[in-house]
Amino acid sequence: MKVLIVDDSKTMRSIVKNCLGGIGYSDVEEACDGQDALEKVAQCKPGLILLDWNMPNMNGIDFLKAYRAKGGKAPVVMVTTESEKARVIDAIRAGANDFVVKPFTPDVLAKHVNRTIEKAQAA
Amino acid sequence: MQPNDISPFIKATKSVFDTMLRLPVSFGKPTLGQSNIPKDWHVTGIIGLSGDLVGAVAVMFPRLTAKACVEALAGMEVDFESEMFADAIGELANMISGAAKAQYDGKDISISCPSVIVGSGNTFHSHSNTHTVCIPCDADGSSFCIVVSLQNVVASESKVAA
Repeated sequence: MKVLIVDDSKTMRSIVKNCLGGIGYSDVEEACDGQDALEKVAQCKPGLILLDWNMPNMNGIDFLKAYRAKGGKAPVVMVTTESEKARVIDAIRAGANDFVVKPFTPDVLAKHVNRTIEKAQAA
Repeated sequence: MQPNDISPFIKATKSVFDTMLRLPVSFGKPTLGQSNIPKDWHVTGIIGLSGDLVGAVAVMFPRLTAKACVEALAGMEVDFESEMFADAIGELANMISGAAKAQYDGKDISISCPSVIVGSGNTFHSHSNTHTVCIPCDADGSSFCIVVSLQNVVASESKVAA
């Protein structure tokens, strides 16, 4: 399964990529903001998207709304510092499937990724 | 600024360093004002705050401490000149500010994308209507500091309540 990591920080993309590699997901595409992600989803058809919130050009929520509006079905896990209740509700309403708050350990990210994929496959 | 105004930033720094860098952090006594802000450190990551909390957060490092922290975060050797070095400092500032912001649940606070300054001789100057606190930190024997510069939170809360 291809996983798309969307984060403006190259360091964070690298950390997330290493975590994914540790649980067997090595087919990874990267995007540096929402606009870039919209182009990448059209090309690579990911099975899972890991999405930051605060990014230049187009933020994560605007990307998510645009992606779902275009019929994008891949489960989306928000990986972000935005953890206030109102933000979580906004993200879920926009179509997010799960939420990982930065800072996180590799184990926490792995648990949320595996759970999200299992739920998507069961649906 | 009240003493408990900066506790979210101390908790956030500890959480980020424990979780993402696996470096234990200890904290010295925070000081009010700009006189104790280091003037000769090499690397600064800055995040702006707006909304119900207005101001800025700066994470300031000497050169070698910055490199050690970046490499602990990235899990690899990172050159000073590389794009990833400044990127990692910005992400550290972003995570500390974001984790602190989350502790002000119920307030509408936005954080900016990070800015990073690399080079000696830079100095932090805050806006005249802000209160500035310098929090000295030690990660595994290496000093760095968090500078929190905020408009008077008590006054802001009164304004919101009115």
